[in-house]
Amino acid sequence: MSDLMIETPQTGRPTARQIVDRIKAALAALGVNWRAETVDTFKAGDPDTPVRGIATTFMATFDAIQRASAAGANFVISHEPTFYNHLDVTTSFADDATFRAKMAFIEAHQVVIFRFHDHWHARRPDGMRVGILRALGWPEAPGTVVLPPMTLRELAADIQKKLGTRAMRVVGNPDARVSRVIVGLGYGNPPLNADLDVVVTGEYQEADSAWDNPAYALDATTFGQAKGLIVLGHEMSEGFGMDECATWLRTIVSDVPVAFIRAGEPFWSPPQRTLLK
Amino acid sequence: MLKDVSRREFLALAGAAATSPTWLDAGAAVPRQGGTVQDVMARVLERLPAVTTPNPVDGLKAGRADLVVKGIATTAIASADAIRRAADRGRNLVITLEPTFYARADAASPENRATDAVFAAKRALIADLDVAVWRLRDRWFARRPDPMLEGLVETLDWKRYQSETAPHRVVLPETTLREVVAHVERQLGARALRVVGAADLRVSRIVLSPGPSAPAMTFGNLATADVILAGEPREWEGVEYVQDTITAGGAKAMILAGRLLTEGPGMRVMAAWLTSLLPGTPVEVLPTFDPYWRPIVA
Repeated sequence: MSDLMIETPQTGRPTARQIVDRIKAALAALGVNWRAETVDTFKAGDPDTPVRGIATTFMATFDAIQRASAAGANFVISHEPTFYNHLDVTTSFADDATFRAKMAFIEAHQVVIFRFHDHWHARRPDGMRVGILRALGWPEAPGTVVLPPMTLRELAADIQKKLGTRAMRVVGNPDARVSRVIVGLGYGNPPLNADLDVVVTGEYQEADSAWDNPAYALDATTFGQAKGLIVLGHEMSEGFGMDECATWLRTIVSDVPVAFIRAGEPFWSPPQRTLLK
Repeated sequence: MLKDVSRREFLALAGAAATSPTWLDAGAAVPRQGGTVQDVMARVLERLPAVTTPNPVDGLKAGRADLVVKGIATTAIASADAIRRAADRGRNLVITLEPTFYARADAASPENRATDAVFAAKRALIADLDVAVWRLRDRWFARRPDPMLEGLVETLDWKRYQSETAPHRVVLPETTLREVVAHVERQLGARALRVVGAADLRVSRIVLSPGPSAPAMTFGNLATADVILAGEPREWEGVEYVQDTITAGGAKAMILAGRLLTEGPGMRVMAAWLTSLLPGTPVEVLPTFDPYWRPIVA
């Protein structure tokens, strides 16, 4: 995915700000008005830079920015923060070597970075939901997905195979028979409850959160209920949705090439010691 | 004096976790042996630093304050399984670091959880076993030296490598990241560790950031460490910072072992401390099991 070549751009190319204006207009036409309070802002670079190519990605990691730039893109549209916190506040990183190296690259290569989070989720259907459900091969509808009954182990193995994840984690009895599954996105976790067998999600606070799915799944299992929690990782949950974002952008941006750069699962896991048969 | 404080007021005070020791008057009214849940709570709290936590979570979450304590079990989380194990061993006071009822400060969240079958079954289990569950986190975290680091270092058998001046720092004889991962996995009983960084990386300097793993621990320490051993850093905070530092040329790594699994060892420290504080009352820690497993795909 990183080796796609972006054509040499023509003259009169739009600026990053003009691209964002097109996004705003396209969303407004879909009934999604731009919010006054949003994290969807420019995070680095000059918004008036002419755009040679656009790269969408889950998160503008240093590596993803380098690959985008190498592929000819100078406008990175990132779902998650660039600078290690939700609001991309950089004051405390002013003297930080990692931050400075990343900024130096961004400046040297005249990259512009924009975050596209709140409004991409607000589009209907939610672009992130479309991305993960398509990757899983499940019906692209909100709410509960009803699958043919199978064991939690079979469901987990199927998801792992389809997504190619290395570091997925599961809570619950592997032999529990499950069918009713809901998919949460990123750090958004639907509460596991009586109407569901499994919550599939990206990332969460393990305990002491708004609701603790791991503890609930453990206790439900102790009480003999068929409940499970499948934790994909944040990138694994939302990475595919930025591919969908690139596809959507191509419908409103025809004068600049648009590519999807997979940020990639950050983790590996050691070989399984305890085999769960 | 404790006897002048109503049970409700006592629980409010204990729950607020911001009690000044002065109201207890050095425990003059508190029995020194055995006693009720309320007595034990008072004796423990008078020995822990007061805190001013904006959103306190501590307090008696289930069971009777006037229950006579036969034994105490400490645990990272008062799961139904942990409560059963405690009761089986005659420990009728469970002290937990994390919530019992699946939400911050044990609130019924979302609201429908309070009426669902899992919630009801847990309430019934606690009532049937006549166990009390006390959450002790805010005040325990205020204790120095940091009991969570102390427990983790003991469990990892790294005491001889721990810095005296900076207890979150450990300097191992040089090894590889792969070997450190295998050691952590074995010592913590981990089934689903996650790792950032190259397996063959030569490493020595480890920074410990158990439990919730504040991002500042990673931001502030990575430059002078090889590995951050953490509980649950978030992907757009500490994890991204480690990824970017590696991209920038840093020989760095992070091991994510989970919040509960890295908190469990600290509860053994609590059990040992309570044993000395409450002579005559049996106290033990319940081992923390990794809540996660990973599927095997052929």
